[in-house]
Amino acid sequence: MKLLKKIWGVFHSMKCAIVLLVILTAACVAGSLIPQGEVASYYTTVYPEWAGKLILAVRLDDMFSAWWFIVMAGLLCLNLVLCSILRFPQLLRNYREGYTLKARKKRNRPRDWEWMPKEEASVRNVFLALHFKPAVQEEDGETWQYAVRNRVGIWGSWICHLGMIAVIIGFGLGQKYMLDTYVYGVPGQEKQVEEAGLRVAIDDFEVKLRDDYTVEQYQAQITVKDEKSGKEASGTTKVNAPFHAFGMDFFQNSTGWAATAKAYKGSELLDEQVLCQGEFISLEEIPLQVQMTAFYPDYYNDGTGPTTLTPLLKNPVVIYTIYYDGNFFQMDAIGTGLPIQIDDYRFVFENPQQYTLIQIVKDPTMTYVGLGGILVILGIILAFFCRTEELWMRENADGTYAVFCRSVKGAELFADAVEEALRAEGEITGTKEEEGEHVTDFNHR
Amino acid sequence: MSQTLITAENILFYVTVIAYFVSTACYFYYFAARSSKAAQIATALIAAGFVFHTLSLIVRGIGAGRIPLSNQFEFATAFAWGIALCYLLAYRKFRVSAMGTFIAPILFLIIGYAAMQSREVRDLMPALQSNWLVLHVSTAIISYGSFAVSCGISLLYLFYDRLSAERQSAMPDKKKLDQMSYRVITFGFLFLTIVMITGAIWAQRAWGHYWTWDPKETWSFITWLIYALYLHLRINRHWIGKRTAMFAVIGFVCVIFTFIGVNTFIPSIHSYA
Ligand code: HEM
Repeated sequence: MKLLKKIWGVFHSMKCAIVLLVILTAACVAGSLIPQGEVASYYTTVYPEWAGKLILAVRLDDMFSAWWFIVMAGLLCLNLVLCSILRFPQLLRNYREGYTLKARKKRNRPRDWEWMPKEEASVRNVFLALHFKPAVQEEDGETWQYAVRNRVGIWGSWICHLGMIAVIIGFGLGQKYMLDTYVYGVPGQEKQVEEAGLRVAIDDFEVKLRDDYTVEQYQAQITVKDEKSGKEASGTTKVNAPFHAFGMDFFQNSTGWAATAKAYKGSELLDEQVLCQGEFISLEEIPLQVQMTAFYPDYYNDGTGPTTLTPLLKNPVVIYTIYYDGNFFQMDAIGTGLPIQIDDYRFVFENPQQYTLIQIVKDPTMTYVGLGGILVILGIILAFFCRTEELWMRENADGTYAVFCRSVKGAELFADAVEEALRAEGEITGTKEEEGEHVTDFNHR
Repeated sequence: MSQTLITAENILFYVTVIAYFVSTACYFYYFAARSSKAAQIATALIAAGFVFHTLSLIVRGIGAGRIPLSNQFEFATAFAWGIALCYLLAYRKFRVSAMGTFIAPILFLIIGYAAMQSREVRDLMPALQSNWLVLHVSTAIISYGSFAVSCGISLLYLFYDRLSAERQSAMPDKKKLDQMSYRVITFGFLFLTIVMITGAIWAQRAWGHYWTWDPKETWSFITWLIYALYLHLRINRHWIGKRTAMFAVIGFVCVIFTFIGVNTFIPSIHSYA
């Protein structure tokens, strides 16, 4: 029981939060410096063997999906949940009852300054000068003035934590349940996307070039059909402006070259297919495959290797690779429209055009993550820019005032401002420092 | 961009570099020789430099026909601009010239780094044509500027004990320096949070994923975690003073690494500039 209590105590403590934050920071540093997602042999050759083995053993090669990284993030989240639940009643009580003269009188702390106001209005002026509403007076034998501002600020850290909880949980679930797939093709093609239950037709695709041939925009016109409902939606997707339909986003993700490959035997057309870079055309009757390995729209080779001079189709050349029975047979360059002859068979690449790759994403938790983000910002604004600050005074018999102030964030700076206002409206005749230690209220609770 | 505008931008930019350089020298002189006149001149030079700097950014913006926040030169010069702005704001609020001695060199180094980058104005690739990006970078400037200022104040804090009593009495005590640095950090932290959120929105719109642990993202997250740690350590461990001052300096080293180191040492989708 005692042990359980201890574990519980550790879990909701801020100490635990600090340890977890340190571990997560260290993990992120490792995850950013060690290249992620390479093959195992990469790590054992690039790093000393022991280091490579260590990296693989503790999954530093796939840091952000490593089980222990996820556990740490989960613990941080649990820590936040517990701390938020436990702090709530205390915060509420504090919010309701903590910021009153009664509560402050109970604390019975030494005054910060002894002050002699210039005139009767000075007391009120000091409060106003510091942007406090005129103080509340209390007279039961003594005259007290008390004012507080930005009481709502005490909720800042709590709201920020709530936001972090939403972000962590939302992000984690999003990683697990998000739909993330793609479809590619040239205008005129329609393809099935099974995971999404859709058919996507590429109606048009345009790469807008500037005069200097740099790309201004990639833009695809697509029609999406929901297989279940039979409904259809058409629209444009551009970089930075995805198309949205059926709860999914369609991103213009990337592009490349495609061409129509035709296979003949004698004059008989055996097959015809649109190949994107990297794809093959295969024959049924013999185990012959031709790959469209690369494509150069404005081919140029000065001996150092092929390049393209412009992105325009001025001298289109396909680099093709032939495989026979699964084995490499030949690789070469050929202009479009020209035949590649192998025995009785002839292959021709025609009609080169750019294909588009459309990424399809449905992330059901994104809204929650977004809301979490907004809460984090709001919480930070409340915590640091709506600082709860208090000022109160007691009138002494001789007409001087004992002045107190309190701020949990930057107490010294607030005290400076109060002191300046007091000096402007009267004379300071004594300070806490003279009585001994100048107590700074760093206690955030 | 027309030749006239290029020349105008060049002149304004180099006048700014010189102003910041001379200001740094004046601050050093002030620190070594305790000349308060030198400190006044130094601060005035930063203010003047800031005006020229602003003009150079405006001229570049007009020439490029867009807000100039889209390649490494533009980020760097804007970063320096943000430091100058945050310094001037902090100076207006706290009136402590001595912090300039530590901030002006940072300012000069960053604008020096900018001067070494290619100044060519290029049209933007599609992914960079985004208002979210503009918001992302402009908040980053403010955030990084604040962290530079807090780093400067913290360095002053760390040097404080080596100063003579007479010099100490001419500036705020250590507790106040600590709280000044803390306040500036809270400002930077707010903006850094906005930087990450606007960056995430931009990434989502451009690539379909709002967070992919790309090195630049990861490093801004690391920086953010460091400052979150700073804030919690202040409360929980009562880490106030020397240790938090060192934390503020480490935090700024992370900022610099995120800004320059990641592009230089780690391949990333953010490295197109
Ligand atoms: C990345 C995650 C976190 C973020 C962004 C965050 C943010 C913040 C912020 C902005 C503050 C206000 C700081 C100040 O008043 O100076 C704060 C305070 C605090 N945080 Fe966190 N926090 C995180 C994680 C945690 C965790 C896991 C705990 C668990 C115990 C925790 C416990 C506290 C406590 C007790 C305070 C003091 C509240 C007060 O006195 O007002 N934080 N946090």
